[in-house]
Amino acid sequence: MSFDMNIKFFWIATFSYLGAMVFYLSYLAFRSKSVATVATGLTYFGFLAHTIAIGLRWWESYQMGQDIGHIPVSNLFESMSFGAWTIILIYILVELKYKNKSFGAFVMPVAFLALAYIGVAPNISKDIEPLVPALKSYWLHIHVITSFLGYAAFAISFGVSLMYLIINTDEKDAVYGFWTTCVGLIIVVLVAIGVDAVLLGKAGSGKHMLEGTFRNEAPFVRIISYIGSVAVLAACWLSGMRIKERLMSFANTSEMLDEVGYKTIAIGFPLLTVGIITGAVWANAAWGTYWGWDPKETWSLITWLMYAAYLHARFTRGWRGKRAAILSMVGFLAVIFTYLGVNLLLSGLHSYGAAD
Amino acid sequence: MEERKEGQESQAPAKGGGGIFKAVWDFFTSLKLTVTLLLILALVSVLGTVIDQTDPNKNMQMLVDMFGPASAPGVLDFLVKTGLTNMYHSWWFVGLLSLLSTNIAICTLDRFPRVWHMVTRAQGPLTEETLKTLGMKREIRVKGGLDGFREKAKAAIRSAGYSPREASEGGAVHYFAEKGKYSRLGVYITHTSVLVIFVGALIGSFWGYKGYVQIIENGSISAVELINKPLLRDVGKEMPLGFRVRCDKFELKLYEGSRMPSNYLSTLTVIDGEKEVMNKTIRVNDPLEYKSVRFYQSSYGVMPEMATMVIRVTPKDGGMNIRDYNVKKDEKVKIEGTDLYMEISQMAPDVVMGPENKLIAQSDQFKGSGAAFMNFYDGKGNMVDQAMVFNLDPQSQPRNVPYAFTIMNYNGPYYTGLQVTYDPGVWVVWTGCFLMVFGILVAFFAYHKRVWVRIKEGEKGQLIVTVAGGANKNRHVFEKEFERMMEKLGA
Repeated sequence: MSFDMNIKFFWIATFSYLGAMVFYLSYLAFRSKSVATVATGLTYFGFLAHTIAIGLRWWESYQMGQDIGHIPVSNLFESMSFGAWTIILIYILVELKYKNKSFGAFVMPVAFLALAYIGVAPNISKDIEPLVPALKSYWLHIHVITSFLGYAAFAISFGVSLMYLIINTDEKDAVYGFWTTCVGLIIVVLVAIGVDAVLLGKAGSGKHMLEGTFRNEAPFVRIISYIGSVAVLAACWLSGMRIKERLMSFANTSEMLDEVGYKTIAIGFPLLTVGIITGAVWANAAWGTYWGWDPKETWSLITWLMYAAYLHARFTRGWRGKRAAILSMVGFLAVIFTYLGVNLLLSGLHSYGAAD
Repeated sequence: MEERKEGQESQAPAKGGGGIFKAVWDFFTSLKLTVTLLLILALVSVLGTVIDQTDPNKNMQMLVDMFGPASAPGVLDFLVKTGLTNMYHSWWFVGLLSLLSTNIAICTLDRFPRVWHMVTRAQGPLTEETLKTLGMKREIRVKGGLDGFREKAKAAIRSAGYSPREASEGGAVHYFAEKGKYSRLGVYITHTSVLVIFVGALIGSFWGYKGYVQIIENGSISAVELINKPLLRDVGKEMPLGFRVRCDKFELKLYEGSRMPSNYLSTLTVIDGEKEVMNKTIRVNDPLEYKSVRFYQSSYGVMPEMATMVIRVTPKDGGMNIRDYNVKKDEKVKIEGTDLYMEISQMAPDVVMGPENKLIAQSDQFKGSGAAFMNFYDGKGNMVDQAMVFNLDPQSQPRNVPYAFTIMNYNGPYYTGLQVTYDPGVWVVWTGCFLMVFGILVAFFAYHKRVWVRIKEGEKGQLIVTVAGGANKNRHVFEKEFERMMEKLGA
C-alpha cells in the first residue's frame, strides 16, 4: 500500500497557486475585475486542495503505523508545505479584511516558489518518515504551528512593505534601487526554479537545486544565467516607475500599506515570541537546557531582535515610513535564513538526534 | 498612527538634576539607543553562528580557506583573544546585554511613574484642558429637558459597553467612563519580563550546574561529571548528588522492520539513604526529576572496558578450520588446536581510514569496519607478535602467526548516558516568558479608551451637549464606536 495520495493533492495545490499567481499578475496588468475573481477562486481552490493534502498526509502517517503517525511538520518537505499553507491562510484573511486583491501578485509567488522548490528539489524527500526520538513531543505541535503562523505574518508584511516602498518612490534613489533589486531577484529565483521544474520533470535525474541554470554543467548556460539575471535587474530598474504607476491605480494608499505592514508584524511578533519560548520549553524537556546558542536558536533570536527594533523604531520620528518598511523586509530575510539558511548553509550544526 | 501618542509621551523631559547625571539619564532613556542596541545585538549574533562556538579549532578550515594557511593561525588567535570563539560569554557581549538591561530599566523608571499615575487616578469630569488633548470631540444642540436627556446620555454610553459615572460641576452635568486603562501597563510588563528572564539566567549560571554521567545496566552512581563551569562552584570534575541513581534497564526501541531508533528508554531508580524513593522509565523528552536535579536521556553505548569482540580466526594456509572466538579486552584466549594465545589491548568497533593512513574512531556501533590492537603469546607467555587488525586493510595482519583475523562483531553491556542538570533559575525564566507573552498581547491588542458627555443648559431651552473621547491605540475602531454613540445621542 502506498501513501502518496497527499502528494497528488499537493501538486493540485501547487498548480492552482501557479494559476492564481498568473491571474493576480494579469490583474495588475489589465485591471479586469473578472480576472481578479478567477485569481481569488484559484487561491481558494488551491488552499482547499492544500488543506486536504496536509490532512491526508497526517492520516496516511497513522495508516503506516500507530507509532509512526505524527503531525506533518517534521521534515523540510512537510514544514515548507505547512509554511506555504499558513501564508495563504493569512493572505486570504487579509484579502477579505481589506477587500484589496492587488497584494496577491506579491504573496502568491512566495507560496508557489516554496511548493515548487520542495516539489522538484531532488534532495528533499517527499516520503513520510518516522520521527526521531527527540521530535516525539507534544511541543512539536504548538512550537511549529506558532512559529509558522508568525513567519507567515512576516511574509505578508514583507510583501506589503515592498508595495509601500514602490508607492512612495519619487525618484531613482537608493530606496528605489533596493526595491527594484528585490523585485528583480524574486523574478530571477522564480524563473530559475521554473527551469528546474521543467528540466527535472522530464529527466528526473537532477541532483542539485538550480541545476538548470546557475549550477548547470555547461559554462555557457551558467554565463547566460548570470547575464539574464543582470538583464532582469536592469529591466526592473528601468521599468520601476511604471510598476509604481500600476500599483498607484489600485487605490493602495500609503497609510493603509503602512498600517497592514505594521499590523501583520504586531500579529507575527507575539507568535514568534511564543514559538521561541515553546522551543525553549521543549529544549529544556529534551536536553535540560532552555537556551544553548544553537545556530537555529540564535537566528530565531536575531529575527526577534530585528522585529523588536522595528517596533521600537516606529515610535521614533524619522524611522517611520520607508525606513520601517526596509527594516520589515530585512527582518523577513532573517526569517528566511532562520528557516532555510541555517539548515542548508550552516551544515551539520542543527541535528536533532539525541543519540547516535 | 496608533502609537504616536505613546511616542510623544516618551519625548517628555527627563527627571534628574542636570549636568552629567541628566546627560547619562537622557542617553539611557533614548529610544534610538534601544533600536541601535537591538540591531547591534542581532548583527553580532550573526557572527556567532558563522564562527564555531563549541571548539575554536573547528574554525581552522574556514580560516585557511579565507586567509590562506600562513595567516590562518594568527587570525584564529585573534578570534580567540577577542572572544569571538566564545562570543556569548565574552565581556563585550555580556556588556551589550547589560547596556540593554540598563536601557530597559531606566526607561521604565523614567516613564512608569507618569503612566502609573494615569492608570490609578480616577477619571474626572471633562475639563477644557482635557478636551484640547482628545482626538474626538463634537458639540450638539438638543431641544428638550435636561432630565430626559440624562437618561439618553447614560443609555448611549452604556450601549457602547461602558458603565458611566455622573458628576455635576461648573454648571454642567457630566457623564464619563473609561475602559482598559490597565492596558497601558502592557509595555512595562513586557520590558520587565526581559529583565526577569535575565535574572533567571543569571541564577542558573551562578547556582546551577550541568553534568553528564554514564550508568551501566544494574550499576549505580552518586556523582556526575561537570560539563559546564558553574560560577560559584569549584570547577571540579565531580559533582556529588547526595543520593544514588541506579539504571535497572536500558532499551533501544526500533521502528518495526527498520533500523531507525524509535526511542531510548532507561529505567532508573533513585536511592536516597538506604531507601528506594523513586522509580521511573525515562525517555527522550521525558526526564526524571528528584530534589530539583533532572536526568535526561542523552546517549547510550557499549561499556568499552567490558566489551567483547567476536574474532574470526582463519588459517593462512587455506585450511578449513575457521572458528569464531569471543575475546574480552585484556584477556588471553587460546586458539583451539594450537599453543597460541591472542589478546586484544585496544578495541575500536567503528573506524575509518583518515588522512596519512590514520585510523579515526567513529562510533561504538559495529558496522563492519572495526579495528583491534592484538598481542599474540606462545604457551609460555612470551609475546610472539603484535598487530593492528583492521577489517578494511588486508595488510594489517600479524606476520609471525599462521592465522588471519577478522572482527565479526562487537558487543557488551550497555550503558545509558544521562545529561544531568540542576537549574534553580529555570522557573524564574518561565515566569519571565509568561509575563513577556502576556505583556506583548496586552501592549498590542488592548487599549485605553475614554468618553465624556457634558450637558449644559443653553438659551431658549436648548441643551449644549459636548461629546468627547480618545483612545491611545486602535483609533479607527474607536472612531466607529464613537460615531455609533453619537447616533444614539440623536446627532
